[in-house]
Amino acid sequence: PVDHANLLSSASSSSSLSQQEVATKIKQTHRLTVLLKHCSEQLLAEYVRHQGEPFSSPDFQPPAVAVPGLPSPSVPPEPWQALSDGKRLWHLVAAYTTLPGLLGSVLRQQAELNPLASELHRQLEAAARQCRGLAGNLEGIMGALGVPGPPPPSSSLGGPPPSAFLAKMSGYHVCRLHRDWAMRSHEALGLLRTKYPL
Amino acid sequence: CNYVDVAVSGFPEAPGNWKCITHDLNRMICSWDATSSANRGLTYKICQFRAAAIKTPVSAVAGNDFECMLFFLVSFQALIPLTPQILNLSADFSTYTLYLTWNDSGSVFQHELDASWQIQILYKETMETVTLINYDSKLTGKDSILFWNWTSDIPLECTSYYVKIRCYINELYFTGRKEWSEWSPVRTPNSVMVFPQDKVVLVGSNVTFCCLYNEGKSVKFMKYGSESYPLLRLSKWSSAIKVQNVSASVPSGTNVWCSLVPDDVEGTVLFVGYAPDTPQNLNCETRTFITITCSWNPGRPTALYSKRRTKYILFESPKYMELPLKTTPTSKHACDFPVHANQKIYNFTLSASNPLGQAESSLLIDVNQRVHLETPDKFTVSTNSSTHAHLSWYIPGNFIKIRLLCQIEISNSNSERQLNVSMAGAENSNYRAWVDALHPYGTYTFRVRCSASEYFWKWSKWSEGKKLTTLEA
Amino acid sequence: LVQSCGYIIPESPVLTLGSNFTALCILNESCLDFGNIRANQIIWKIKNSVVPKEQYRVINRTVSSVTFSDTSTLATPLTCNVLADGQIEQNIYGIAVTLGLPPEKPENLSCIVHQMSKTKFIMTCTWNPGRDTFLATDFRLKSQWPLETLPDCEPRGVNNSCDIFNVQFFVNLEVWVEAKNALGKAESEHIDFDPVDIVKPLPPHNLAVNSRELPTVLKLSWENQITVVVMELKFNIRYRISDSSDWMEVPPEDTASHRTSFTVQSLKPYTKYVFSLRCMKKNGLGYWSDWSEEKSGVTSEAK
Repeated sequence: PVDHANLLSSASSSSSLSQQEVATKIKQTHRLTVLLKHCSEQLLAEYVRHQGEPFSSPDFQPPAVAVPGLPSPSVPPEPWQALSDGKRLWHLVAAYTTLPGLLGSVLRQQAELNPLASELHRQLEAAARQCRGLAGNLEGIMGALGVPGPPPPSSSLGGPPPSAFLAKMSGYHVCRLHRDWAMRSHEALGLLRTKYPL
Repeated sequence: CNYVDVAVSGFPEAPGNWKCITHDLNRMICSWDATSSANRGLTYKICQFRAAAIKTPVSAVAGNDFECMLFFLVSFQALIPLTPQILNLSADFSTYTLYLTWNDSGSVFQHELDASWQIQILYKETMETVTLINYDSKLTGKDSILFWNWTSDIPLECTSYYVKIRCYINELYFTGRKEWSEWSPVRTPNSVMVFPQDKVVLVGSNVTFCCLYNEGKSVKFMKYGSESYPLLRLSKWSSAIKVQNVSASVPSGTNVWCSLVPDDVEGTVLFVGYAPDTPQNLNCETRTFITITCSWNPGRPTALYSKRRTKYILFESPKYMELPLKTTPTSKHACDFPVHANQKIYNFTLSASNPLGQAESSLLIDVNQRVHLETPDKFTVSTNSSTHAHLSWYIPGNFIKIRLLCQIEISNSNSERQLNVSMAGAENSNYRAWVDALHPYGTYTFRVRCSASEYFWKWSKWSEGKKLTTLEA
Repeated sequence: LVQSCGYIIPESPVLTLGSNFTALCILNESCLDFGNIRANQIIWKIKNSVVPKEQYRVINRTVSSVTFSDTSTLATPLTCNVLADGQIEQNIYGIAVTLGLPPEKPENLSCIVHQMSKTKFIMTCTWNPGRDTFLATDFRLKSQWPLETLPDCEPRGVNNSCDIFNVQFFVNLEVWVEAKNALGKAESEHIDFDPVDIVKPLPPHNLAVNSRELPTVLKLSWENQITVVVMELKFNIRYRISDSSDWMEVPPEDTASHRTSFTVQSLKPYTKYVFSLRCMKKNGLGYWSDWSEEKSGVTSEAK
């Protein structure tokens, strides 16, 4: 893995942002992950509140299910820490360019299943916007650090209009993955922020 | 990128079953049979030869100086794509359709390529082939998610279905053989395992739910909402529960779920509600003689939403019409209907329907007897005398065919009186009246409301109040 | 079908006030013979007043032009007429003329994020639209993130402000105004900021004032309406004796850090005080909130 020292030197030569600006961008993005983590936990709680049992019971922990197109953040901590800054950012951007499409699909399904849940709809919309904002910030940092980004994602949950239960389940998995990625991105940006202090 | 024969050094015998394959047109994986006694303990050097020149080894397996006893072997070179992986296979029982999602792994190749896919559908325990479909796509150098669907002619619930796919890359410049990839692991649709699916029932119904699980799984428990129910074993692969007297569900329905071993959760949703009430207080009136507005009270909420909600349709069917004219509500519980020039009598029928039932109300009206005017607007008062006042106001609508009755309220600090004045109706017009017997230098507040004169139905709302002081005597 | 005997080009021009303008009246060949009319018989009129002949020019037997050096004198309609058989004035054609000005560059673009509730924020951007153009002029507030263009904001009923409802903190936003009408287009300066730095938060609420053992202190406690996840706050606290109108203020440096309570000291024993406070982003970026509701409290008696 490329260590951050020469990553930074190569970065400042390859992009117009100064070291100060890169550090400012990282600080801003770290603040966004703090907000995202806070909101993603609220979204998951709001989501399960509207799906009825078993979703709303605290001990409901169905096995994680892969959502087509969305990488899973369940890389164990050690290998995740061992990744280079660039590779971690690569994974984060891949996730945050996919999540808006998935959250958009969940919003459409919930508008059908829970037409009166306006707060849930608002939070799903805000979450998709936050993910797009974070993806943009991360890509800005990657550009500044001279790290190539991942390919654009496929968008939403493909396939037929699922049954109501499958819709609730897939929405639950997307919201849980959104929360898990928020925790991972918060961790990663915290790490990056210590490496690039203001 | 040229691929030519590849030779192996080493003696005394040439290795058997020598072949080189590539999955990505970037790396070549060569293998040979080194089991014969003669070749045991030897070191091998792989030399790659391009069209005309001898080149140094591309990669050395092991061993000492380069000494190439060349065995030119007709290499078995082949482009065999990586085995594809199915991402998701789901079933829509209502349309007998399977939906397949897979990743084309386009990023394995650096440039655009034509790819062909074979999708094989098998069914029954014996996994007989139902159909084999070819599907072409373009690899773009990036991973893309591909979708495809297939509709069966028999319900998917009748037997188990399996799908597998394989891939073929048609790279024109590759001189070696091109072969199909291995078949992907077989997938069975992660179908809905709990039935009935998305059923709508009346409050108080008794419903039985069954949970089907694949080989190697068993059911831990089944719950209706948060309540566990005794399991009824139907077969090796299915169990059921009976739920009595179900109550109204939340908008997203009551979940029925089946917790399986090993760790899995499957389920369905039951929507419990009421049939629509007979629409109450159906009222139809015209505000402008341009449209008739019908409004009603829906009665008891049905607890059903979205595509299961109650749909209202207003029919108007005078005798000489064959087909009733239909219109759907403009707002939640109201509906506009055009007034026809030479039609007085309107026979309205309001139909309310949802998946649990249908109800209707009817109303026969004479439009002339259902005139409810809009609030008088642009109300002005003026005077140029000590005892009279001139009033003017505007009312939208076409009342040419009727007379209007307007009530003028005159109030001051110590009295209030109302005057009724009848006047000819007009179209989108200003109306005028004047009031006498006022006190000189008196301050009055005026306001006006109107209705149909001949057949009174309702007063309009009062106009805004306007203050006026008469001149001194 | 009565066919007109000619027409004017340009058909319905939009012209810049103060510019020059030439119109052509072109007679149909069929009318030349039938009506026995020629271009030199054409009379140009603005409304009902005849345009001075010096401004005419006969191009050929079917085309006459009229030129205005300053369109300010123009009005609608501009008509092309002839004296049929020498006596009766016959109208050939007429056009509507619209006069106006291209939009000026919108100036002084600035934005503020108003907090509307715990989770709802609205960003209002205002600008100086410039002179009246006398034409239908469309203003659009444009915005974009570094890698994503965002939907335009269309002002409602005004031409100098627009509200954006989807505010995203911690993502730099570039904003500018585009003005467009039939005569041209203009674009304001672009401004670039993080919306979190232009917030006017809601004031703290649920203010409570409690006396203490010590007769010269009162403890204030309150709830901040903006989550600390978005921003940390600093405060201004002011207080007065209940029957006085002179406010005193706690030194700002004492309330420069995020908090939900503060103990005000050096008060008079057994005296009723009225308190109010306001907040803004701790680093001083953004705007002060309005003052909170006032709450009173009485210091305990001196022992």
